[in-house]
Amino acid sequence: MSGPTGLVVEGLRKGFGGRTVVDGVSFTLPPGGSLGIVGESGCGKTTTARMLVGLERADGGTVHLDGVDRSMRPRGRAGRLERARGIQLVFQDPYVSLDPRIPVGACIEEVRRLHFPLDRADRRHRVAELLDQVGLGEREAAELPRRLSGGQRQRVAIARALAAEPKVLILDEAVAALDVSIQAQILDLLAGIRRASGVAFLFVSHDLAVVRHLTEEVAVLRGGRVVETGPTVRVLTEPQHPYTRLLLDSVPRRGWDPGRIAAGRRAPA
Amino acid sequence: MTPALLEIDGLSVRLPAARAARPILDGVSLSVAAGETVGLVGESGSGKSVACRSVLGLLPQGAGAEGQVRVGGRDVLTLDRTALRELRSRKVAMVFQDPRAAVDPLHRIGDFLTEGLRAAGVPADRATARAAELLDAVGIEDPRAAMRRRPHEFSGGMLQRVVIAAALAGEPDLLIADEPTTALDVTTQAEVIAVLTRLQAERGTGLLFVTHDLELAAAVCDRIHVMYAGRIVETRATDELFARPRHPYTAGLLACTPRIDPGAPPPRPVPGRPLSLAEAPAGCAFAARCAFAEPRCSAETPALRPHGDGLAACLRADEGILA
Repeated sequence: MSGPTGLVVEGLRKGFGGRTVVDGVSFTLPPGGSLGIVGESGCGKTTTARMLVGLERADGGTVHLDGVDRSMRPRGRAGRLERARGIQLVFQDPYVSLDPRIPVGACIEEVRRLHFPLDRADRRHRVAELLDQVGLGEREAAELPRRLSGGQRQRVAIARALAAEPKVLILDEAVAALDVSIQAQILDLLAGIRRASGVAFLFVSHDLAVVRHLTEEVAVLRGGRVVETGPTVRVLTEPQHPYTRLLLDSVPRRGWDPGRIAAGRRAPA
Repeated sequence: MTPALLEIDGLSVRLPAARAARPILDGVSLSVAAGETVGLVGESGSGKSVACRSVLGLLPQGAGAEGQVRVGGRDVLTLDRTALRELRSRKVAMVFQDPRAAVDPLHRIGDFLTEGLRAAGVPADRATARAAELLDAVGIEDPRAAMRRRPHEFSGGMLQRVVIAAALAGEPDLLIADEPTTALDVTTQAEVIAVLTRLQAERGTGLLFVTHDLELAAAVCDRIHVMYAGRIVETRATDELFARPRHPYTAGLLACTPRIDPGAPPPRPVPGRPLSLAEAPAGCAFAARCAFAEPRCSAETPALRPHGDGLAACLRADEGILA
């Protein structure tokens, strides 16, 4: 294999109780790239993300990260840890994804201890560096998650994910629950992190405007299938699929006419 | 000008000093006329939900209020229980963010819709016919069958339509919508907004539309009030607000909202975070986050004063700092 090939997903499938939720999803995320997966609730975007990190087992299809097959279950502790280091996930609600009883600095340190047990000497130093990278200081590091604001907690979740030094960071609606002024701060932070560290982003979102500003490529999901894929700018300016067009027309803006969209949707496709 | 349906006049809402350092609402005034859509926009903790709930006489537990909330000329805050019931069933209706929290999961949709009508003395068959009519108006197919179903059989978007139908059942003069589409997908949001604005226009209902989404407010509202830390910081006709905001917070909100239009600049963050109830800085509440703040901004609280065709609460609003 010549050089890293990034994340290559082919024909991913998953059903729950006879209902197919993800139906042959394929995409490629180059090293250091940024891919958006957009769609509405029930389109399979979160299930796809969960399969990539191993929280769900795929019924079919393959996932390769830099040529290494991730479809098989890893063997042993070392195998599991190595698998986890490849792809990390940031959830929508940091309040639920952080342990309420552990100060956030210790929570990041735990990830370092787990993945890089030999660097004890500079562990503290790396934790401070990671916190600094997301704009948090010593004072926040000593706090429990509930003492932090939503934006600060999401910064912690990002730092914790980065602590494993992943090749791919999956952000599943990671800014959806934040106030808009805070959301812009986190988007800015994420763009900076990608420039500085070269980690690739898989940005799972329902928000086309956010995806437009943070990704280079986009895949539009509907009913578990990719209906359109391409460079983000192209897809958002010249959508080819009627569903992508509907999604775009539905984004509120000045002079927007929701009545026309609703009428268009009811008309036979 | 038509007389206002709703006039909120100098409304301040305070929790006991032990629970909050600053008032939840501080001198909020706004009005909604028949057929008018007025937006109330702000981030979490800005007080927008507390302000809109006060119209139904709902205040946070243990809170004290000053000022007046007049609906049809009568102050809601002084009404007794009977009069409040009358107000809530006939004059003002409210649509909340989460439709599942607004309906009883055990009751059929038909019962939910006819309950208010029956309580108001409408005979059963008339109430049923009226409920079916309303469901049809909000775009639910086969209303009679829908009325026999229970909430869990509806999607979020469909259930929010049912809630809107129920809100309109009492033919209210005024509709309060608190983030009515925040929990919905974009395509569903478009449909629900279409239903809401069409019915509102047909019936001449006044609409107070509360949202954190400035772009959505722009698409729906005639006039927008921007709230920050319990105060209205800017009031302006929608187009004017977007074209020439006078308050730095409004400008900051506009700049940090990611926009989808081709060529739109990347969202520009506003530093810092919104004030919590535990913080009560002197002077302008936004000063700590404001790029244009001067020393006097942290000393003197700016009053909401006419600037251009609207109002702004900024000491420097006249200096053309945002031009």
